[in-house]
Amino acid sequence: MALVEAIVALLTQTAVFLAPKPWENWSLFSEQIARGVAIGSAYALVALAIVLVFRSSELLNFAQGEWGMFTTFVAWSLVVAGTAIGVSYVAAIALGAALAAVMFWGLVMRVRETLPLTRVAVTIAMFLMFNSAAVWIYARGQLPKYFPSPFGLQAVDLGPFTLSRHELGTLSVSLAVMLLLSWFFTRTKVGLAMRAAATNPEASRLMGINVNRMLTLGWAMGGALGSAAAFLIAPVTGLFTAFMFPVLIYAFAGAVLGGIISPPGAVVGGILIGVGENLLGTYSPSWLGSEMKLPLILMTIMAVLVVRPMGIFGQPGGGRA
Amino acid sequence: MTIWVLWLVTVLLCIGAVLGPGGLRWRLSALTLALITIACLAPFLLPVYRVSQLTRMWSLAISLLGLNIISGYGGQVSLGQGAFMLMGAYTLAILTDGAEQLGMVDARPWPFWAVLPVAGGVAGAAGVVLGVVSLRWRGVFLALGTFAAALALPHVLLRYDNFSGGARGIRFPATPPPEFLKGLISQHEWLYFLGLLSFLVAFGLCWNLHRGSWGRALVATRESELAAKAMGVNVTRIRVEAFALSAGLGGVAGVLYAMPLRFVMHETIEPLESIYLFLALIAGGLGSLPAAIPAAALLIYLPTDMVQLVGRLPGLGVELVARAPGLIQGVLVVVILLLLPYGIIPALGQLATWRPAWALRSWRPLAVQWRGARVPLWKGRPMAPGETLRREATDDPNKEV
Amino acid sequence: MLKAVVKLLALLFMGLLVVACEAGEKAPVTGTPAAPSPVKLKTDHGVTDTEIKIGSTGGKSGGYTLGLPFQTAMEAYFKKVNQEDGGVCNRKIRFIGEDDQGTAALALDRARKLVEQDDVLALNAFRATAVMGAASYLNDPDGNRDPSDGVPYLWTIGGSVETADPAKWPWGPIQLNPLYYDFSKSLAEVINRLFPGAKAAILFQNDDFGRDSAAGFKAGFTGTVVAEQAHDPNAPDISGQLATLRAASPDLLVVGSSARFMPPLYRYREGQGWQVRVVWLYPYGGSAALMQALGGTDPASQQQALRLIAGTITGQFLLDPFADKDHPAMREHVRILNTYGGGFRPNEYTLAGQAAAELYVEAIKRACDRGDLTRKGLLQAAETMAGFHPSVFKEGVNLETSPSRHVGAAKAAVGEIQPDGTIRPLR
Repeated sequence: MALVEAIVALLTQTAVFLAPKPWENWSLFSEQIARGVAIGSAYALVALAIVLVFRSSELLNFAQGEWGMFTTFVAWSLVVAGTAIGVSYVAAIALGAALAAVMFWGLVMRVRETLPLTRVAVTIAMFLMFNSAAVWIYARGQLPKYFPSPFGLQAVDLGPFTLSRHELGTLSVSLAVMLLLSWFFTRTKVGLAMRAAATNPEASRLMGINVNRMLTLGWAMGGALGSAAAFLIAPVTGLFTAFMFPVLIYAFAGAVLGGIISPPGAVVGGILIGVGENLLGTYSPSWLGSEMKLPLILMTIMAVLVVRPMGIFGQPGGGRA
Repeated sequence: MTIWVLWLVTVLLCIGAVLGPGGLRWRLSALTLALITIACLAPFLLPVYRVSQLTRMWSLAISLLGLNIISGYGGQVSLGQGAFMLMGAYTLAILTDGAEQLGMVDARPWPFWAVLPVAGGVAGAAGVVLGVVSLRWRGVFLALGTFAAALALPHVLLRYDNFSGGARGIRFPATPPPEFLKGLISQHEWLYFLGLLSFLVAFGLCWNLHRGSWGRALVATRESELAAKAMGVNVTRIRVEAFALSAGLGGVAGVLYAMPLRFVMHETIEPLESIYLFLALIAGGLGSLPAAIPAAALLIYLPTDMVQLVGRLPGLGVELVARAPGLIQGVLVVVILLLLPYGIIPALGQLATWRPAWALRSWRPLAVQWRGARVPLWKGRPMAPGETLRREATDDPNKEV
Repeated sequence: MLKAVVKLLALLFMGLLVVACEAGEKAPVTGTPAAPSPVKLKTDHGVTDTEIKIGSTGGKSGGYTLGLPFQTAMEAYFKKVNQEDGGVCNRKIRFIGEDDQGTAALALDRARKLVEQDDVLALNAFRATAVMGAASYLNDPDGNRDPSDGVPYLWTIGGSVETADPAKWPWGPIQLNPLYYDFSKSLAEVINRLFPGAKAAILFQNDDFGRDSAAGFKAGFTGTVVAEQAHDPNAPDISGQLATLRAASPDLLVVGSSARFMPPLYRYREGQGWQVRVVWLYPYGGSAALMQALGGTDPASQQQALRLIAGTITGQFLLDPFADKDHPAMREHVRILNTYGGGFRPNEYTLAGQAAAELYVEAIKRACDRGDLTRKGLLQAAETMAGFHPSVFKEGVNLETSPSRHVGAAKAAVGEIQPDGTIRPLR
């Protein structure tokens, strides 16, 4: 019947040639894994930002990526004007933190007594606003521009595979940030106060913790992380106003996979997404095609969540510990 | 007659219905009748492109009704309504274009009255799938999952282009009015009335469901799943059914959306549209069915007339509109959300607390002096001085109070 | 609650303001002919004694904003013609640019507004979905299956491959850019001559541009295709696909992707020491796009970028803002943008916008000379323009719009990027 024929034709369409199987070419396989870990660590930074915000405000911040994009554009103008790239990086991170804090204070706090969905809507509106603001200010920013890497782009030979200095740099920065954050949350008073404020705001208030300040700090850290990640991603994808869209999706996916309230989960989730994306891109069977990477990644995560709805590190019942 | 006069009249009627005298049922019926009359007269009073804008508004309103069922009454975030609309649009294209994509099934073009339910069914089936998996996903996970579905669909359509036309899209002819209307109305009026009629039917369906036991059960699952289960609600079934209904309405909306375009391709309804739909519903008022209309109006007028209006303000000017229309749109949305955080329709509801004293009066003739005093009402009649609502200990408990 | 009342009253007040402002909304113009001008000219829509109205819709907000440079350049060129050349046909051209966010429904909405309220003579649009969204309407505005009342849809960017057939789409859209299939096919033919019997690996993005380009290349290529990989047009990372292609050891890496994917491709190629020649099928490709994406602003990184891209074979139909920056037409384009376009920096889309504007001016001139500046007259004039060369087209590339084929440019000017960034033509 024609319908069956149509379905069969569907599945055997466009002959796409396969990569050698993993066991045929270990070097390729390990390279894809290494590369995936490197880019995954950048996703992990954005995922961390999302988790930080979610833990404190129970809100998915859709504008996270756009703030990162915006600060990267500002950093780009600084670099073009002659500032050293390290200084621009620090400036971008500071701007990201400030932007997040101001936006939180000015907008999100205003609507926090209303429906949670209204707060999500406000973050979506901010996403649209910042995207347009960037298009307006950097009107020629719609086509990808070169953005220098703080680490340089030369290739480094690591035995079975090569990675670029930028990828190694991204990995190290992410690692450093994660260690810093984990030290901050477990060993400092402020970190402890933030965790307390996120877990139980009423009790924290009674203990003398200024919960609003902790929330603003959480958002500021999220903004800083988003900027740090965007700065590292822009050299790879090119700088244009939409470069953080797919990264935001991957970061959401990674955060959700890891358990939306767990920072180590965000890191693991982000890296898994990076590796998965690369492996899917390389080894997809022909009837699927490597261009289905994004939907496939998301579908896989959704499947994982059907089995384990709270994510890898999440608590059953969606608890906030 | 300019369209803004019509909208102003509509808004004034709504405010009048809130603040006016008489019983609630009477006011709502009068308002509904008045609005339907305006809606029926509109295409004969407005320029053609305004009518086609309103046609699109009806289609978006149907989609928003569906979204409200699942997000407003069901409390589940759904960012995938655009995907269901796209499915409906493709169903229309495949079934009416005269090319055989599905073999015998669409050898001859289908009439529109058959396409609408089929599109609803196809999208509804997809909704069932989503509903089943949503049982395990909660809150933010569901938001991401539905958005992932919205992202995935265009890729799937593009990749498997035997029947979807892939990047070339599918062209299909305009849907003509049925025989008995052929000479009476023009094509754009026909599409408008089809959209209006479909919206009224969909609204009636949703209203009925909402007021019935199904709707109450759905709201119960939103408030507390555990409590609902304890009361005997089959949460699984209700949720799947809600998704199916919501998706089905999206599919029907997609058909109406694509009818004027006469062309569909994988990018016709983008994933970003799903987010815009959700945003608009929040601005319109989550959890109230009539909110579909202001939400749809917002979607229609925000990128077009509202931005141009800002451009006319002295000082800000045309350059801003030309270079950053998105910024203006974002700011306008934020302003609306800050002013009316619960939405437009709930704000109208809040206005009801300001009904003037004279409007509280019932129309049954009663010789009672008000003298400006706020007299408490009970059982529709003013209480005599000294009469209380409380039952005294000595009263007979069986006496009717 | 007082707050709610105040808020609602505020909104109501704004609503009244809107009504007052919109009181000037014109009644829709029906098809009454303009008063006859001193030159015996037939007109029906969009032409008065003093002005000619041309419309355009494009993405200026939302998810897609590339319509902005295109419309800016069109408007700047029309302003230049109005001020320096005294207009066309004794009238000034009035350009009305609308925002459709790159979506189909808004494109249709804006097209309706342009046709029904502004009564333009002709219009164009940007991006395939938007172009096709309004296409059916413009071919048959009242939907009565009689296409005699259509609106010329001239020189759009993007569309569908089917629109080249005037029998199916009499009023357009006539695409300005070459159809991706034809473009890649002509590129492939040049490649056949230069690299007979070569092995090619194809990377393409999963949209109409990528798929049609890949298909066209394969149709024209006589060597062997050893591998093919597709990728999402929004994917941040394509190293997986590149690794697969490399594993097939091709001589040529044929790329049907947009500019944002070229930097990772070149860096991967350099990092892996992969000695493959890159063939880029992007019609807006060339040194400029690559230098912007790879080159940066300091000389060192620009030198490095030139090193990476040297040897790449590209096809173009427009001038290249980097390689052709001393070309007189390029200089004029920059001058026009500076004087009339608010200093907008030139890129591929501003060049396309000026090309479209030049074609409109020429079509209006021809229609005027024949005495028929109706919509049909403009369309017929446009169909006579095969062989016309807009100043910003590459040497040797002409317009090929004819009554039997509704296309714009059709051939590719093939060239090889030299180490200094110029492009050496190849035949």
